[in-house]
Amino acid sequence: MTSARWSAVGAGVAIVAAVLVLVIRHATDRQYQRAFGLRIAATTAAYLAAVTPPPPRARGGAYDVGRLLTNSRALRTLPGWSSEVEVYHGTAPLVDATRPALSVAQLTALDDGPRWRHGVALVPLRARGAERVVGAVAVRPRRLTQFRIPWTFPATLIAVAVGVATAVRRRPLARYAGAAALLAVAAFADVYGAARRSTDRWLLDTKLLLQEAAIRVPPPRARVALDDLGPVARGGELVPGDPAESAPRRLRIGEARRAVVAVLIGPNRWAELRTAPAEAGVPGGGAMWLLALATLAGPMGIVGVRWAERLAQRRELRPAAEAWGFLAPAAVYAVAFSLFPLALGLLGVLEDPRGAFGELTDPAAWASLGTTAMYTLYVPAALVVAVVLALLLHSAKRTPRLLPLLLIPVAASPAAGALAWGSVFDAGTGVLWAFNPTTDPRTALPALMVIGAGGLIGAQALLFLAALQGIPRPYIETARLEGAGVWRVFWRVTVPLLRPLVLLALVTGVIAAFQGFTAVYVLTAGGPSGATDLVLHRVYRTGGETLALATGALLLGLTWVQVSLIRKRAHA
Amino acid sequence: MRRGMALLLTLVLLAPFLYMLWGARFAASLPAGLGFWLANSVVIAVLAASSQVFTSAAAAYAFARLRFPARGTLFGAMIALLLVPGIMLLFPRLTIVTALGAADTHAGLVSTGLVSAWGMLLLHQAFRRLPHDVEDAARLDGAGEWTILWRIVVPRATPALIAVAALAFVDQWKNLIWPLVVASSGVTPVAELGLATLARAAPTNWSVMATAVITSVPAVVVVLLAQRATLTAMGRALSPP
Repeated sequence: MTSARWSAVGAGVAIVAAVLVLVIRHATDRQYQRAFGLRIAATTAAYLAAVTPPPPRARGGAYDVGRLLTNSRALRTLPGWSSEVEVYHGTAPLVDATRPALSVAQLTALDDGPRWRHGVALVPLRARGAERVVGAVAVRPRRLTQFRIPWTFPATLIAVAVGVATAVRRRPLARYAGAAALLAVAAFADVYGAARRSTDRWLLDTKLLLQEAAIRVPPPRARVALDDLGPVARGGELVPGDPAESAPRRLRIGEARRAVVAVLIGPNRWAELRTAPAEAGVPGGGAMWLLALATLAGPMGIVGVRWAERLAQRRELRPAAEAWGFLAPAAVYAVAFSLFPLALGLLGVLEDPRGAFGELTDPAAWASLGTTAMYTLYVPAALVVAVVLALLLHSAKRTPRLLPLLLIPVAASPAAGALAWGSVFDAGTGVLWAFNPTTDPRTALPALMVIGAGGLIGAQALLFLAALQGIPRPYIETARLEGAGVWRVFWRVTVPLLRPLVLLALVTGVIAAFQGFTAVYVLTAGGPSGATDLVLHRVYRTGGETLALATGALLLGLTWVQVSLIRKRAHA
Repeated sequence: MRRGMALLLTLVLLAPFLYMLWGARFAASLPAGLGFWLANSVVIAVLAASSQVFTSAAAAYAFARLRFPARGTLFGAMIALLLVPGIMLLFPRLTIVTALGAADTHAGLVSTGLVSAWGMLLLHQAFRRLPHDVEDAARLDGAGEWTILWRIVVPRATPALIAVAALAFVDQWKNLIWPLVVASSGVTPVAELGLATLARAAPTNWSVMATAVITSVPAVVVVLLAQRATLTAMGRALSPP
């Protein structure tokens, strides 16, 4: 490929990255518009249910159709009301009678919950005090961004211009990185603004409904009780308040942030409508992270294109692409099933740090970690026995033919192993020992450690034996010829050759033991009195995601040792 | 003397299993779904084994034989990612699998065992030790890398491949925590899950013992059949070059 073509590819990457940001931002906008639409439609339905009286006599039907008609039509002339609304009685439209009716299927489907289609939120209108769907409320919300300058558009133009210039003129990336960061900030500002406006608009529209409801709630009376308006303000809370300006405000009430607006519900009577602001926490949820990734994609993409170009000049691109193709299945899996879940877990903590870390303040969680650390001590003990066993077998004149039977404990399922040992513990009660060790808090953990060691020793011994037999004869013969004794050969030749392997087995074994589960699940269920509540069992029992992450983070140090040991071997 | 000590230790390690085997004769009945459990477990373990052989062979070949930029870094990153402690990934993986609609399916069950760092490592070590001559000849004859991997390299590393398949099979067979969270509804019960549920209710019961023996048989058979190849491959992979 010519240099000009590579430039074009780079420019294309810059454009695609910018368009991606626009698309994500647009989707986030729609998401807020949808949330707002569904919410205000539900509020409207609640309003109509509150202000429409039942039919005069038992004529069937849940509401007085005449009053429902009046109340629905009144919505259209409500000054300041922001959305287009339609109310259906059964399937028949009330506000605009010439509009097509709903289908029966649509109405029936509403029983399962609200719908959002083609920019219209459709929620069920239920009979008062009953679940029966008697009609529907449709709301088409106005665009949240209308009459506002979306910051993303100019920022996108800048990012595209700078990106294309960077790619074509081969400029350093710093300026483009700056433009991309600007785009990220602009997109964030837009998403934040949309979130904020969705809350504000719901507050203002609901305020209008509440003020209407204050005069319309039957029966006619001078003072409407706040409790009668409560159902209209569903999804928020309505409390007595003070006179205030008409615009929504943000307040901190206790621990929580709240969006509030003052509502005039009677002569000199004020209430305050509160709700959780949509922009609190991480606005847009996952979309924010997608946005961050998309803004990074531009500069990273250009770096990648330049790298590919260099490879191509050295005629290394084809072999590299081929090698990556071989790696692809494993790499895709590693990203999708390790990296992505890892990020997902960390995100969960970031979104609610208070709740997440609250889990770790429980002393039982720390006790569980301590128990688990104690439990892992069986690994070094078992490995010592395995090494001894391997040495014994290695020095035997001929290896016993039944040796593979040593693999049975590791091949048999852990549940079966736990059962086997558990039954021996149990069967010996009264004969070999005085009590079943798994039922006493002092001996339950050691009993589980014995089971763990029993599963580990045989296979490790065979592995060490294989390694011992793999030590080249000349090493040992040379040492013996030079006059070294048996012990000297052992310490100077065998041990150094075996050490990395034992170390790897130790680290791997400890990591596995720290996540021990089956024997506890089968035999003790964490008891007696929490003595064997290993951390994975606790995590499983309590759904403790933070404890799981924290434990994993503790183990990452060991994993790092493991990986460096492996790399040393692989590149030896 | 040494042989005697080794024998004694072996006997101690095997004693509980022999006791269980002996007691299994007294079983009154076996659980109704046992055949279904075993079938599910076999399907999942075979899927995991074949997937691991395929992905590990391809990746190991690239790392052992092909020259490409960032090879060392990618090797380290891949091994590190695949060795991230499972406890960290348990719930997020469950979220992903559930979102994909794969909870309570074979696909969801096998999803955590498709690729393994150890399989990759074992094959990497095995491939590295093979002489280059046949491959070079094939390359001169115009064979592509894909052909070379499956027609020339893989057939000469059978012990390592058998080892990878056997380890994957047994690993998948023994897994309990993942089936417990992802297959909780009982639509696709696997052997280990069924056994553990049974054992929790009645730990020392001869029928449960017999079930344990039966559910252990497939994995034990696989291990015993593959033991020579596995130990050879591991010994080669782990001993000094």
